[in-house]
Amino acid sequence: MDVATDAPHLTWADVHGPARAVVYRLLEEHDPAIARSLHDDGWRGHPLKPIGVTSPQFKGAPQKNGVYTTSPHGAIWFGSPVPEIAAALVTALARRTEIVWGNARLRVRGFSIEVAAPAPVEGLVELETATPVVVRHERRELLPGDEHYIERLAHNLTHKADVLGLPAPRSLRLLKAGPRRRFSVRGAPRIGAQVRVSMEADPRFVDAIRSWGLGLDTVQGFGWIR
Amino acid sequence: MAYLAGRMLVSVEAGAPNNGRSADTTARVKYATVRGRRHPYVSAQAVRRWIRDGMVRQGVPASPVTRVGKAQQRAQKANTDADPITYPDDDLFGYMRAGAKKDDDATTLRDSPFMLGTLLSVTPAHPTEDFGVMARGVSEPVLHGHEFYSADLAAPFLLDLPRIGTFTLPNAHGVGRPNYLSQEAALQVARAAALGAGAESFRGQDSVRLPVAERRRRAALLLESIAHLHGGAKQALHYGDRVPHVIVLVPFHGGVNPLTHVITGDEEGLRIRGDVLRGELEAWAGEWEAPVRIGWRPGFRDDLRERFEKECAAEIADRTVVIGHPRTILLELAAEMRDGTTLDHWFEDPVREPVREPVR
Repeated sequence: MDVATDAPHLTWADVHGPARAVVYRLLEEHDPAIARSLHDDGWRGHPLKPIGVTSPQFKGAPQKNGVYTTSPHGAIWFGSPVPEIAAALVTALARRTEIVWGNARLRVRGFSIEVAAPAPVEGLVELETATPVVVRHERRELLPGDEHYIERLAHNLTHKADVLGLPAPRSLRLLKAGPRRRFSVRGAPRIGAQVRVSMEADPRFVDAIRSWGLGLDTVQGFGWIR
Repeated sequence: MAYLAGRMLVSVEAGAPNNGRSADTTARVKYATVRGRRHPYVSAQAVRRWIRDGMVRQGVPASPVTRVGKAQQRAQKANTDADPITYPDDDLFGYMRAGAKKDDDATTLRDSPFMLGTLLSVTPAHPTEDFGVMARGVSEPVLHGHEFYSADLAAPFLLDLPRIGTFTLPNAHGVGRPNYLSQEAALQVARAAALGAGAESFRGQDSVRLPVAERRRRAALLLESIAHLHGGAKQALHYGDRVPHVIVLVPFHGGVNPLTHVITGDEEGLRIRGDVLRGELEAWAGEWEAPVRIGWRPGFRDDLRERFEKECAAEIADRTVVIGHPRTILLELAAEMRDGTTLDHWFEDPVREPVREPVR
């Protein structure tokens, strides 16, 4: 979804903070039952929520130290590997002319649907994220390079594969990591970094996590795959 | 296998199933002039209407049509709902809905996966003008007239099976500006996703595709409708059924119709040629799938049938060519499609060997 805003910048709390609320509000508009059950119980008996979203991303925004600047060319991506959820999201988004994102009002300029065709071959794929990936181990936020990082990320992916009923990916490797980023979401910190990883996976699974994301808190706007 | 190519023959006996514009008080039939002689025809639009109506009779609601333009003193248009996800007829027959230019509305377009030629008389025919009067209870009779004819009309058709239930999406980089989805289109995609549609790359474009069960059902519906075909003008005076008298069906790899000269005509009248069929099948070896299904109504031109069966005796013996009643041939094929075990590969494009670079 392409958006524009009059605000010259987003406050840091508004970058990731409102994401989850926006998603649930959208779902609720179209299908309150799905929204409630997803919020309270997760998806089909798993606590995971198969939804991905980005924070608003602005193309050509001026660089300014310490400020999340905006530009007229903003975009937010929403996704879900589950058709029912995706359909509810699309329906709700199609009717929107504006999205309230924290203190900012984002005017909807247009809307398109990306249906990534399944990758043709099974084998090594490289994925890069557009937002930081959040991974935790014993309540500690991990950064790429930390002990257990790969292990926990792989565990998370295996869990996601379980929810979708697809084979789990193998030989996950970290190729590149961005700088450390810290966001506070309603007072609680989220620490992570953008990463580029490679793995061997079923094309259907790769397809699914492209619209779901890597790591934890994808519904909060983390781990969206570019 | 991708395409179902075919040719159908409808024999009209003293009928006027499709009229042109009338002159004075006389209703004229449509005809085309071929090499200086008159060949009556039934337009493809009319036959498509008969098939569409046949689907409605089978209990499948048709896409509602709204007429716009006249009241607003503008160009007249009639649009269907343009919703191929809900309405199988929008899916199978395609549509174009041009948005108003000043509102900057999007034009939505769907190419018809079912293509049909004009049902054109294979031999020249001279329509007869029937002179009529309405003299009952009036002192001055009202004069009227209409034309009718007897002729064998043939048309080719092609059904693009993988495209049924497959809806391509505009890509992000439209010409000049980003190709945003209209709210309407987005809602349709959402509905398709809720029905279990999946993402596919279809002939190089991103698309959403309904589950194969629904796609099979739609293809079968079309064949069933042809098996029960009736309709057309002047039925009160020239009732006649429009179930094809002869129909030939060949599953084909590419969008080619090799049957043009199988049902044809010459000075002596209608010809249905087994030798041509054999020649074409030989030339297109590897591009089609046996059996060739032929429906031939019993009693229709027994002389031609005897000759045809003699010409294709070997193929009929090894069941490369199967002959039956058009109705049973169509219904059996429809049932086989619905069943979905043997013909599901027809709903995918065939995988072709990549073209190799010539060795220098």
